[in-house]
Amino acid sequence: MVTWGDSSSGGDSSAVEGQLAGVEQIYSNVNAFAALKSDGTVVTWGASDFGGNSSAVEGQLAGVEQIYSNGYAFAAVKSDGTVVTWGASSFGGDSSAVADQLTGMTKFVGWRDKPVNADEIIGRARYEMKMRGKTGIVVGLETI
Amino acid sequence: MLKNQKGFSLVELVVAVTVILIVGGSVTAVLLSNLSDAKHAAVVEDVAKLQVALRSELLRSGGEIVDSDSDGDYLDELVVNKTLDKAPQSIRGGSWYLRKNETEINKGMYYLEIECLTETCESLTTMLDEKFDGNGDSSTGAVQWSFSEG
Repeated sequence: MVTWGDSSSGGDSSAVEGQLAGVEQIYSNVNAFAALKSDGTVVTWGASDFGGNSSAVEGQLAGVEQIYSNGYAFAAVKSDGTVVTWGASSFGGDSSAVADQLTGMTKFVGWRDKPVNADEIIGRARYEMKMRGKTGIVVGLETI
Repeated sequence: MLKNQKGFSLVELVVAVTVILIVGGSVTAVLLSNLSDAKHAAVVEDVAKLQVALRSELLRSGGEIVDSDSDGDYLDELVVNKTLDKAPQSIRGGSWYLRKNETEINKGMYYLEIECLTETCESLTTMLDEKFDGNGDSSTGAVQWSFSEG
């Protein structure tokens, strides 16, 4: 992992350098970054007010499948369908007011864990396209 | 008595023109290749944007996007619901369709159909496969392609 730029905005990740192995995806807001690792844990750095410091929810950041962000906060969807938020509290970082509603969120299976019949479905779409005399490409985007 | 040698001989002209053609051809090929790569990168970027928009719409709608006009295409729904600012325009003369297939295992599978001219499709497949699949196979995986005959 290589970072650069204003250190107060996440340009310097040396404090978490040792944790940044097995990173699959990086998410960001205007002043912080969150790295989702292959084991479902999350590493954050950058401005702490913007979510660069996630120590308050560290224990909850396991089994994370997806992270979303706005300019000031992060929200992580976990494999059990729950959501963990952190960052600027007035910009979504504090979701305690709606905590009881944040369960059973849509879980994306994604193509890394695609169902066994994914090839067949995409293949059928490809075949139908050919039968219509069209040249084309089929791209599987999401399973839910 | 020495001859008055003004201008170029025929051999010199032929050599010079040949060199110019070779260099010019190479430069043109490189420029066209870069232009083509940039166009393909724009398509890949559009597909990635569409994937993000699809996920946002799925989250917003609770996992069930309604095909309000029953045209079998969900791309227009993403635009109408403002999760996508506009339909992708990066393939000239191409058409994009966002389809859904019900599955026994999951609630549904969303996939993108890109119709394009053969020469465009052929060169696009490599970039799309690298980004969204990686197996390089036209008939398995998340990215598959088919070219009409004739």
